[in-house]
Amino acid sequence: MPTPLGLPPKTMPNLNTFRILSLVWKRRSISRIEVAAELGLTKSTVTKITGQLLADGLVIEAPVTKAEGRGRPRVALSLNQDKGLVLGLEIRTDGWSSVLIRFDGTVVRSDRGARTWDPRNLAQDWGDLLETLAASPPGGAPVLGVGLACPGIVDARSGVLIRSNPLDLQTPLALGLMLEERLGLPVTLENDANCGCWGELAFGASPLPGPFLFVLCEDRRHRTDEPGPHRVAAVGFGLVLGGKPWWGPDHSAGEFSSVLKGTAVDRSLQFNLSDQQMARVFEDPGTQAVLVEELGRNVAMLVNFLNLKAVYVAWPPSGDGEAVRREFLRLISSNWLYPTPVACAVSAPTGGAEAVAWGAAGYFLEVLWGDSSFEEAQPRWK
Amino acid sequence: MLPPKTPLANAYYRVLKRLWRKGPTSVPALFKELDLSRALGDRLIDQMAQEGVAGPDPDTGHLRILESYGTVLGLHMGTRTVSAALVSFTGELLLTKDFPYPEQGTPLVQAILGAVARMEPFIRPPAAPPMRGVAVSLPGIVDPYRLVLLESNPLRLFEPLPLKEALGRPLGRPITVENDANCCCWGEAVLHRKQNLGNFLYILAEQRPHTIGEQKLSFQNFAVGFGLYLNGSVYHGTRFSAGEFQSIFRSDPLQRNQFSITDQEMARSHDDPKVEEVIARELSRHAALLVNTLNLDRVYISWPRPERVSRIVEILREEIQRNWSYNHQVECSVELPTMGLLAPAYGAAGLHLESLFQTADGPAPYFPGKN
Repeated sequence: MPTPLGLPPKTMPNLNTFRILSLVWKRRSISRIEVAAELGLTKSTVTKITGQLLADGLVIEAPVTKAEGRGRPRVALSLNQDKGLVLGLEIRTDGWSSVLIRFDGTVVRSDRGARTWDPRNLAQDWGDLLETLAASPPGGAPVLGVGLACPGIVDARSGVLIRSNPLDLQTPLALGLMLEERLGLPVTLENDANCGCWGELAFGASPLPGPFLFVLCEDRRHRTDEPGPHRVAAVGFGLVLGGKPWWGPDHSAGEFSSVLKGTAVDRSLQFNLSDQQMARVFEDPGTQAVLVEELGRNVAMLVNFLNLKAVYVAWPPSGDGEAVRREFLRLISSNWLYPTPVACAVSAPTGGAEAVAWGAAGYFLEVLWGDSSFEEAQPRWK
Repeated sequence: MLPPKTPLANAYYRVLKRLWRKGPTSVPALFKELDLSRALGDRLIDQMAQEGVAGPDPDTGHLRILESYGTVLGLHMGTRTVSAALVSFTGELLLTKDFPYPEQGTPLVQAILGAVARMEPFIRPPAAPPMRGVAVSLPGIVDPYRLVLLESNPLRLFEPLPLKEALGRPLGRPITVENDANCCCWGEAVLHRKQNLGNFLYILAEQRPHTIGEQKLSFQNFAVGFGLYLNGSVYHGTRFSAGEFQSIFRSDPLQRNQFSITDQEMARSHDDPKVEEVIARELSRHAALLVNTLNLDRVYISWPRPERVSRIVEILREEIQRNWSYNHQVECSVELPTMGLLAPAYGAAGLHLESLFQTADGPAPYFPGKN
């Protein structure tokens, strides 16, 4: 699979090119002098590399910025947003959401649909869907690649879905490669809650708040191929520690099961609610309140144990996300041992209802030209 | 005294770090591994020999850190007892002592200085190599970079207590301070520094006497702190409070213990295995969430009653598996601390040595008058 945009391989002689691209991407608009200062490069190196990027049309000189004080006004560099689009797709057990975005995260089109998946046919089904979504991008800009998010344990580095209870998959599937061959486009694959984290890292608040938790709660079919409308509140966590998502050695970090879950046989997979309670959790406010409290207590434990600075809570549109976030804040405070108040913000994801698909596209861009020191985000494309 | 950590001394510390982490090695192999020129390498080895910190092994001729160079005194300041561990520059445990915490009300700084003074007669040369540092393990929230005890419920300190000058000046030796459970992590990391331990959780459960004023109820409280070791270092969080624990089963704010049981029930925990089992189960469920959410490789658990520890380990293993959503076995080993109850004191000294030899950023000992 060739590298998109004709970019060189992310190897030694080209690392400064990627460092510059990454910085221009993250800062949106930055002068050559600031690039040189921030990356510790000489002005001539920056001029030479950015000259090539300008000639290739990857970078443009943005409108002149106002210089502070005296001296010549500086010309800012930005990525050429017309150069291409990235498709982000979130797969759920009973549907999907997608976004087409520019490099700065601007959504130019979003779609969603309902359907279930045959675990024996995931590559075929997802390939069909992606082909349709990538077929006619608005404005004629090409789709450069695909960021795919799905529930389960994912080895994002190699693009392998290792296991997924929701998708009823218990053996590894190299979906990244299979879809690349099918589409002729580079594809990244990442866990859905981790994609929520990538969305915040790529397009969220700057500077980042510090270590944070992304709570992805979805109202969805329990398993994709299960008969009947058996719905559950399905929760996954994404954790950002040290500026990047924490995957763990087996890539299973973020898998959640409640501390409060009892031993009775009728308990649901993740909570202390019975299967019957879970089936009506988003219809019955009383049951939903029990769920919110149980999840909130678990979140509080993690926030205080890991001394996190922020929690992003993605809640199903059928519920009251604001009330959930207020309750989480209360529970975080009440779980804290000391008089000094807990300094942790709880908010909705910056990407709103499409946060996961948006983050999947963000992860694709991180892999494409992200910080070259971030070895986890090395592309497979040469 | 080792040289200050300037860029010029970087190579010096790279050599020491190599010897510390991997053990003795032949000089040519060392130069090759660290890509040192012979001229620079020979100069560094001469300097180390003059200072007495490293020299050749008489049998193999391999370069090694010399035990005779010095020791670090690790102190764990419990609420009623102080544990001391004297550790050599090669990480060997040379001597241990336990003694009661000074009278209630003694300021912490005085208590630490008193503990060092109490150890001095046992560790004077020639009985032991010179003491070249003091490392202190404390219950509570500790900033090991600025050497400040930020808050501590067990020590009843709710205002930041700067320890850098308060200890550094009177002791005249390099100082390190760190949270007790974090010290335990450092200790395991130092003891197993030749292998990769992966990411792990350390559960430090201690029984501490606790008195509730109004009810005049005195009991042995199970006090629990966690340490988390990720990617080759202790994880501190944004405000150094990572690892602080309170059970999410707990609902009555009037109870003073960290669990869901009443203080009256906690008072029976020492004699009633059923209560102890409730505590262990509750604690294990929280540990299980951490193990699975963080995909950890191992857990160390330090339990105050050795006769019960095998049952506690069993409970912990059960809960880790029960908390896992998939069918396969969770790959996380549950282990007992290598140093047993000495872990916090040993670990404090271990952190001191680890940070002394490291070249990257991290908690560093405070050298009085130098940094």
